Amino acid sequence: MAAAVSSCVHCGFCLPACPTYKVLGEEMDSPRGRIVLMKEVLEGGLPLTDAAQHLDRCLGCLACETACPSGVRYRDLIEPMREDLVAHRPAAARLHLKTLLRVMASPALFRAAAALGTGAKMLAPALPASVGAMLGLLPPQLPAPDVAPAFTAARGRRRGRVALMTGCVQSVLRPSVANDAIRVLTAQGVEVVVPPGQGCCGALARHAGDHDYGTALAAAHAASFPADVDAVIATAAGCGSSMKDTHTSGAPVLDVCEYLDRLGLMTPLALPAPLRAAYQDACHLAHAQQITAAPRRLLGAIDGLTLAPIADSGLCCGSAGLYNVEQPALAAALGRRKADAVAASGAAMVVSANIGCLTQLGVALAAAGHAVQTAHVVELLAMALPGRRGPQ
Amino acid sequence: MTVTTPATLDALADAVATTAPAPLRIAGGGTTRPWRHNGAPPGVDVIALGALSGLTAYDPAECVVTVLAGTPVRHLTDTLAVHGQYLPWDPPIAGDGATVGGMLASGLSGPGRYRYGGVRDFVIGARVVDGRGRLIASGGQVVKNAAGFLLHHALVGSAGRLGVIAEVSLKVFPRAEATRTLVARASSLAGALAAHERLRLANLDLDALDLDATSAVVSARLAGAADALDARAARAARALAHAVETLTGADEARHWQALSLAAWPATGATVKVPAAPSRLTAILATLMPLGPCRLSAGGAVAFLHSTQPLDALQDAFAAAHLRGAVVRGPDAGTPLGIRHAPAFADRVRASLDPDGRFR
Amino acid sequence: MDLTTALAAIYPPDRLLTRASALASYESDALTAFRTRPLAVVLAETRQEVIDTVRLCHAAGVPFVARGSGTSLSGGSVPLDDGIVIALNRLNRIVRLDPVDRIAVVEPGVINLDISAAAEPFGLYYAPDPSSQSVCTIGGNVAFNSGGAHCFRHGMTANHVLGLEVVLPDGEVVRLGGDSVEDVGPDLAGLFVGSEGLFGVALEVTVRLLPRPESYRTVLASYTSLQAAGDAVTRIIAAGLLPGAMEIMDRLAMDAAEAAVHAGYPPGAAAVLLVELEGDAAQAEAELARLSAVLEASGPSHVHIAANAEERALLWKGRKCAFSAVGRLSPDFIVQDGVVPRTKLGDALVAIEQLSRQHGVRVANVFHAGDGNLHPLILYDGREPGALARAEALATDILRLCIRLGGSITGEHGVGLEKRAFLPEMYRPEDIAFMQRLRESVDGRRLANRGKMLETPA
Repeated sequence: MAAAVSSCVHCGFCLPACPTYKVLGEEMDSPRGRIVLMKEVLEGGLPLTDAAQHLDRCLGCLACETACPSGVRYRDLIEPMREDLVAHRPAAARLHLKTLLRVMASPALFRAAAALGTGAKMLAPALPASVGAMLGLLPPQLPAPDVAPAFTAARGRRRGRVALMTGCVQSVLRPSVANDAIRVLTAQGVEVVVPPGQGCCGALARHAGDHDYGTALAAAHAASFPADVDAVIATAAGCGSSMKDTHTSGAPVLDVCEYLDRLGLMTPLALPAPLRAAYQDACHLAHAQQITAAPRRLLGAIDGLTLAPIADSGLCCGSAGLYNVEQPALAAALGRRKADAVAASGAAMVVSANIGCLTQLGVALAAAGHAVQTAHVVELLAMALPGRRGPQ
Repeated sequence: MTVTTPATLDALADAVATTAPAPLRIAGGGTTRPWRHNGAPPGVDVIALGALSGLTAYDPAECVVTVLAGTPVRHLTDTLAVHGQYLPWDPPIAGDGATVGGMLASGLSGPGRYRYGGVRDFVIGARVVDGRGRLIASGGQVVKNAAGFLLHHALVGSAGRLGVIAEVSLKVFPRAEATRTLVARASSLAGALAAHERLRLANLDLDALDLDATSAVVSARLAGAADALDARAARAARALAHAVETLTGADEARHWQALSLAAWPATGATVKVPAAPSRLTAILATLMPLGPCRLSAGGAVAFLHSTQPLDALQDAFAAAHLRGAVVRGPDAGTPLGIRHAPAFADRVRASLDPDGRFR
Repeated sequence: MDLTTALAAIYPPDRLLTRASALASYESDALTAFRTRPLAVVLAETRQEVIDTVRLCHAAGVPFVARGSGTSLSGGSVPLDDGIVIALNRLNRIVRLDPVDRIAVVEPGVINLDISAAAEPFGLYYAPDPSSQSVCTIGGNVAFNSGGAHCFRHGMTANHVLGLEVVLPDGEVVRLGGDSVEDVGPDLAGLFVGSEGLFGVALEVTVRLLPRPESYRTVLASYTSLQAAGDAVTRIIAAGLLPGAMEIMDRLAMDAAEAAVHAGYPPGAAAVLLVELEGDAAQAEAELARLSAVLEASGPSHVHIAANAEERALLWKGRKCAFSAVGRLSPDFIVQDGVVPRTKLGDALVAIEQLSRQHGVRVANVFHAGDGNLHPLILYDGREPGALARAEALATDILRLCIRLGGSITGEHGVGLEKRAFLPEMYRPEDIAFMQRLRESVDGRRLANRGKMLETPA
C-alpha cells in the first residue's frame, strides 16, 4: 500500500475520470483525495471512521488507474482498505453484508430470495433504502431456469476447448448469457465444458471487503474446473477480472470477448434488420483489464449493426459490484447519467459484457423513460449467427 | 512650463522626480495627441522623449527586440526589415516621428492584427517611470514569462496615464515571404458586409481583413509562401463570391496605406470602437452619420473619423450603448459612451501616479 | 460572530467543509512539498456566493485562496495559514458560446479542455493548452497566465482573455476588458491575468476562440544530442517559419512517456524535436517542404512525418503526459519551470547536465523549445536521506542559471509558494517594491492569496 501512496504525485489527472468526483464535486470523493485520506489513516493522522464515508463511496471502477500517468495502482490501496472498513462497521451492518454475499454466491439461495423479492417489489418504498434498492434491481419476473449443458461439442472443425464460468447471480438473472456464449463459441469451432456446481468465483466478496470468504469461494470455484482446457472463459467482467488474480486451475482466464477476438470469428454475422446499438464499457473490462477494442471489433463484424459512441464512455454506470445496493443514491445518479448518454446516442440497444451493468442499465433506462433494450455482447453475437432470427 | 528632453533612462527618472509634483505631459512624436501645436496648458511640465531613442538589444534569432520609448517606430521597423522581421500588427501610425512609447500608449494596431494579434499580444516587457520618478521594470526579454505582475500589459492603451513608458521589449516575427491583396468593391454596404463575412468564415488564414464602410470596399490580404499564394488567392476569391482586383507590390502597399488610420487627418477625432461580427450593422448605423468609418481585424474593431464636437459623440455613443474612445486628435485618450466601474483602474493608477500627475 | 457561523449563513452544511477528513484532502495542490490545513473549505456554486465570501473574509480579516482543480505546480492553491479555501470547481458552466463572434463566456471552474470540446462542433477551439488541460480550470489558467505548447505563435492565456468580471479583495465587483480582441483604455484584463490570485477572484471569463487550422503537419525529428535538437529550433526560426509548436524531450523523458502511453518514440535517440505546422492546406504544405529541408540540414538521425490524425495524437499524447509519467522512473520528483532565451537553450542544457552530475541527481528534460521554456524534472527518492535537499539544491541552481542567462524563473507555472524567494533575484528591489505597492493598493489588508508570489512584509 505504501508504494501506491508514494507513487501518487497529486497531479489530479484522475479527477475528471472519477464518477464520484463528477457527481459530488469535492476533493474527498476523488481518487487523489481518497489517497490523501488513506495515507492519513495509515499514518494514524485520521481515524478510519472519519474517512469511511468517502472511501465507501468509491466505486472501485479503476477509471483512475487508466487516467493516471504515474501508474498508481489504486486497487492495491482501496481493496485492503475495504477490508478494514467492513471490519469496523457495526455488527448489524457486517451481518447484513455477510448474508447478502452468501445468498448471492449460491444460485439456489439467490433464486429463492429473488423469487420472493420480485413478489415483494411493491413493498420497496416501505423498506430500508438498501433493501428497496435491491428489490428495484430485480426484474418483474425471473426468467425460467436454463441450466447450461455440461458439454457441448464444437460445430465443424474443432479449433479449441474451453471451460465456461456461468456466474452465480448471472445464472439466475440472465441464464441466456451462458447459453448464448456456448452457441457463439461452438459455432466458431470451440467445444465448451461447463463444470457443474462451480458456484461463485468470489469476485463480489473480494471487492466488497470480505477477502477471506471471497478467497475461499475462489479456491472452490477454481477446483471445480478442469485443467485440460485452452482457457477458462468469463462472461462477466467483474468475475473475469477477479479470476485473473485468483484462478488456480492452471488454465489462463480470458474474457469471452478477449478469447473470441484472439480466436478470430469463422462464421459470418448478420442481423436480419439494421440495428443501432451502443457499447457500454464495463469498468472491470475497460479499466481493470484494459480491454476496450476487442468487444468493439467483435460487434463491428456484425453486418447490419451500427455502433453509436456514448459520451463519457469510461464513466461507471453505478453498478460496481454491490454499489447499487450500498450507495443507492449515487448509483441512481450515475445510472441516470449513463441512461441519458445512451439515449442521446440514438441507440435502440445497449450492449455490455457484465451482468451488473446490464441490470443497472435496464433499471436506469426504464426509470428515465428511455425505451432501449439491453443485451450482453454474446447475446447479440448469438442473434447474428447464421440460422438465428435476430433480436426479438 | 518646462520642457525636458532626457537622453537616458536615469535622466528621465530624474526629470520626473525633480519636476514633482507638477502635472506632466509626455511628448512622443505628437502624432496621436497633437497638443504640441496648441502647447501644453500653463503649470504643466513637458517631458519630451525624442532623445531617448535607440535599440537597447536586438537578437533576430531570439525574435525579441528591446527599444527605448522615444525611438521612432519607422526606425524600429526598418531595422527589423533588414533581418527579415517585422511587427505583425502593422502599427498604424508609423510616420511623422511616431514613437514606440506612443505606439504602446495608444494601444493601436493595424490590419495585420488579424492574423497573429495586436500590440498587446507582442509586448513582453517594459520599463516605466512612475509619478515619483522611480524606474520600474515589468516582464523581461523572453517571450514566455510568468514572474511578477504583468504591468506591461496595462501600459498598452494607457495613453500616458500610468507613468512614462521608458523602454519596451517586443516579440517580433519573421516577415512572410510574399503577400497578395484582394479588393472587392461592393455596390452596397450590405453587400460588402456579406462578402466580408463569407471570407471571415472561410478559414483561410488571412493576414488582414478590413472593410471600408464609407466606400463599401472589402480588402483581404494573404501572406506566406510565394508558391502557395496563387492557390490561396483563388480560394479566397471563390469565398468572396465577388469580382476582385488583385494587388501586389507598390500598388498593394499604397492601398493599405490609404486604409490606415494615418490617412485620416490628425485634426478632428479618430475614434476606436470595440466590435463583434454579430453587431457590425448596428455599430455602423450609429457611427456612419458621424463620419467616415472602417472595420478592421475581421470586424473586431471599428474606427471612425469625425469632426463633430465631443459632446455630440458622447451623446451618440451613450444613446447606442456603445463603448469607445478617442484615440487620435486633440481629445485623444477620452473614453466615449459606456464605461466600466473604475475601482481596479483607480487602484492601479494610484500605485503608479499617487500624486495624479499624468492626466 | 465567528467565521464558521458567518459562512454557514452563505453555505448549506454540505458545502461548508470543516471536518478533518475534508480539510485534509484540500491541504495541498500538485506541489506536494507544501501542505497547510485551511480553517474551512467552501464549495461555491454561484457567483454571488463567491462575492459574499470575499466580503465576509474582508470584514473578518481572514485570508482566502480560490481553487479550481488544485493542479498548480507552484503551490498557487495551497491553503493559507488561518485562511479559507474557496473551491470554484462547481462554478463550471459555460455561460455562452458564440460561434459567430468566436467567443466563450465561462465560469472560472470550467475545465480548459471542455471549452475546446464545446467549441468543436463549430470548428473552433481554445488555444492555450497546458499539459494538464483535461483537469485544470480557466480560473487557474487566468491566475497563472498558463501557457502550453503553442505559446511562441499563439501567446499565453493573457492573449486569449478578452474580458473578466472579478471581485476585488475588498468585495467590489468590476468588469475588465470586454468581448473584443480590440478594447479601449489600458489593458487591465491583461494585468489581472497572471496576478496569482492577489487581485481577487475571477467570477466570469470571456475568452476568444480560434478556428481550427484546416491542416496540421506534425513532424518528429530524432537527434543524437540535445544540443543538435536545440540548434534545429534556431534554424527553423531563422528560416522564417512560424510553427504552431516546437517541443523537445530528452531520453529520460521519452522513456517515461513510452512506459505510459507507447507513443512510439525512437529507442536510440538522445533527444526528439516535435514540430507542428498549422494553417490552410496550401500554406501548410509549402511550409512542410521548407521545414523538411531545414530539418534535413540539421543532422537528424531520423525524421517522421505524422501521416494522419491518429499518429499526430499519439505523438502529442506522449509529450503531454511526460511530467506525470516520470513518476514511473522515480518515486519523487520536482518539476521546474524556467525560461532561457531560445538561442541559449543549448548552453542551458549543457549547464544543466553539468549541474546534474555535480549534485548527483538525475534530470529528465522536457521543454517548449519554441519559447525557451524549460521543464527540468529533477528525480529523487524521498526515502533516501539527504536526497530531497540535494534535489532542491539542484533546482535552485537551475533557476539561478535561467536568471543568469537572461531568462525567467517561471514560464508558466507562476511564482506561487515555490519560487517566492527567487522573485527578488530576478527583479531589482525597486521592482519588487512596486509590486508590493500595487498589491497593497488593490488589497490593503493583503488577504487575497496571502503569502503567494510576494513575501508578506512584516
